[in-house]
Amino acid sequence: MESIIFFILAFFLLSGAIMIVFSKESLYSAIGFLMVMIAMAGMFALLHHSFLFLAQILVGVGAVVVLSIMIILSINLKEENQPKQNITRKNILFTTLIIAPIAGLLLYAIAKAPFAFAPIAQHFGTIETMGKVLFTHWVLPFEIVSILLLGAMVGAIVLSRRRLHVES
Amino acid sequence: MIELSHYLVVSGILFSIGVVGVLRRKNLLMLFFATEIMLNAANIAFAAVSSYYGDLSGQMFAFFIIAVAASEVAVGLGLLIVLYKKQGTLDLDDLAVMKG
Amino acid sequence: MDALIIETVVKAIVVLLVISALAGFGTYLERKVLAFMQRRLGPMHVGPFGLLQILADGIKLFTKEDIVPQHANRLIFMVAPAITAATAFIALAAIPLFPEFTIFGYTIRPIIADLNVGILFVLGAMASGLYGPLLAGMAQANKWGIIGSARTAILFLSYEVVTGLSILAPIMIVGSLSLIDFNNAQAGGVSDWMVWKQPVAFVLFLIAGFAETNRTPFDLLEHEAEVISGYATEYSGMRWGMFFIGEYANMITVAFLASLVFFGGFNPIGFIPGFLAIILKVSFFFFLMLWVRASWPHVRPDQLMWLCWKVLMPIAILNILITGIVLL
Repeated sequence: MESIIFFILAFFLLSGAIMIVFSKESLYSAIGFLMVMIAMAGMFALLHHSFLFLAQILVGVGAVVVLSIMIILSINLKEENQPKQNITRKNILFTTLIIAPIAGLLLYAIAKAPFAFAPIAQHFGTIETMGKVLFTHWVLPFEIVSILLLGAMVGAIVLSRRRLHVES
Repeated sequence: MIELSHYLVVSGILFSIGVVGVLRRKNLLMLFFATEIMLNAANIAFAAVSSYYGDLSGQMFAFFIIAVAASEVAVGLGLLIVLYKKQGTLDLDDLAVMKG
Repeated sequence: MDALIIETVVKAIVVLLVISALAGFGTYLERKVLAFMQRRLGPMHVGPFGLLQILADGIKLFTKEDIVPQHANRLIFMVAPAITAATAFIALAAIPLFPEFTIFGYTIRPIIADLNVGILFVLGAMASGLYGPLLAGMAQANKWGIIGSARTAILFLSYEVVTGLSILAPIMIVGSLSLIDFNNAQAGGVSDWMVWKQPVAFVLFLIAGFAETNRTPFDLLEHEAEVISGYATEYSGMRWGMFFIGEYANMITVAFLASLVFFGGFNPIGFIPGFLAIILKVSFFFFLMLWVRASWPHVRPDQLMWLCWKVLMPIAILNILITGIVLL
């Protein structure tokens, strides 16, 4: 049962990613992005990480993809406005060079060991345990991330306000 | 039975697709999507390893990655809109204005 | 394991059928209630008191020609209504609908998926419902559709914040995200209800819930006087019907959430047994939505944003702060 769910999720994940990279129409790319995000949430749920699952649903699916689709909507990205993409031999060679080490690492990882999961403890990955660890052991990174988010918020507001100044 | 290596393989393939996307696409928005795929690939690996060792640190990393990705999208898409208003295009080749 | 799967599938099918039927019945009720509030009769012609109007509407929707506009993006145009309906039912999956009951010696828990993060899952699934209108509006080559989908994104993204923040204060009091825990925390009768402890949060949640279910004071997505029918302009037949079912399922979800979180859930009130109590509460909230529709005009989009970011969100944050200080 678990493996069936895993393979379905992996299928959606990879096909979504391929849709992003290879589809001509930007709306299909956005749909692919949505599929990747939802399948990611499913992966987290399969690993019993309910906190990450929720964060992915609320942040990834609920906000990030919506914003990207809003961008496509507002600047009217059509197929004919898309830049031409030539697949040159140089491109392919370069891509292969970069991906080869990752593939090697992967092969090493697969060949290594059975890697079966230990039976999961009762409260592993629930919001309660995550919260406790987050506010004791990881409190400094947490605060730094909150400052980063604040900065991003202020930055986004400033960027969107600037247009008004230019017009007036 | 699903093991850690399955998750790692999926994560690796996803990351590779992301790299291909970054190298191949010339549309800025698609570059965003491709980087997001790469971040997500890292997230799967972190979450799976966290389960494997029974250690919460991996999940913490994944959580911070989600937060950073969200802030990246907020600022990045804002910049993208401003750029589009100014240049009228999202083609990377047209944006090489610093070229001498 | 197998028994669990079969049980879950059966529950899912039952919920799907019952809620779809209720959505049809809801349209009848909505028309009747609105008619009585405006001193009209409403549907009267088909069957006694127009009761068979539901059937007639259903036949009409199912047999109507399925038109896809010429320049529309076919695939997304056809998938989008299914997203709305699907997310609405996914949200319902984590809601405990009734108390446990025994049938043929087999104890049934009327919840499809008992998640320990139920309440946030419901909110997240409902928030994902915005992809239906958003993609539908973008897929049809129609400017009203584009405006409708832009409004969808703005409205859902903004009011999602308010629903989340408003429900955070009750979560802090109960100390759990499971809706069953919410229900059990209010087991001590009417005086135990969360609404007495968190009246502000309840009002905020109700307002934001109206916005998220696209009900009248905030139904700018398909406000016919401004944007024809918004995201649903080019839709006809059963695809339009799926948007409708999704909207009514969302209304029922919000009614269930409000009664579970703030009004004691399915605990028996005095002599009223639990399952009847929650049906009464949900019916009341459903009626409230129709009542508000009959009595309030639409708001403007800028008023909508003003209300969300300058009124509701500060109040919600203040409410959380005060709750936290009191709890400490």
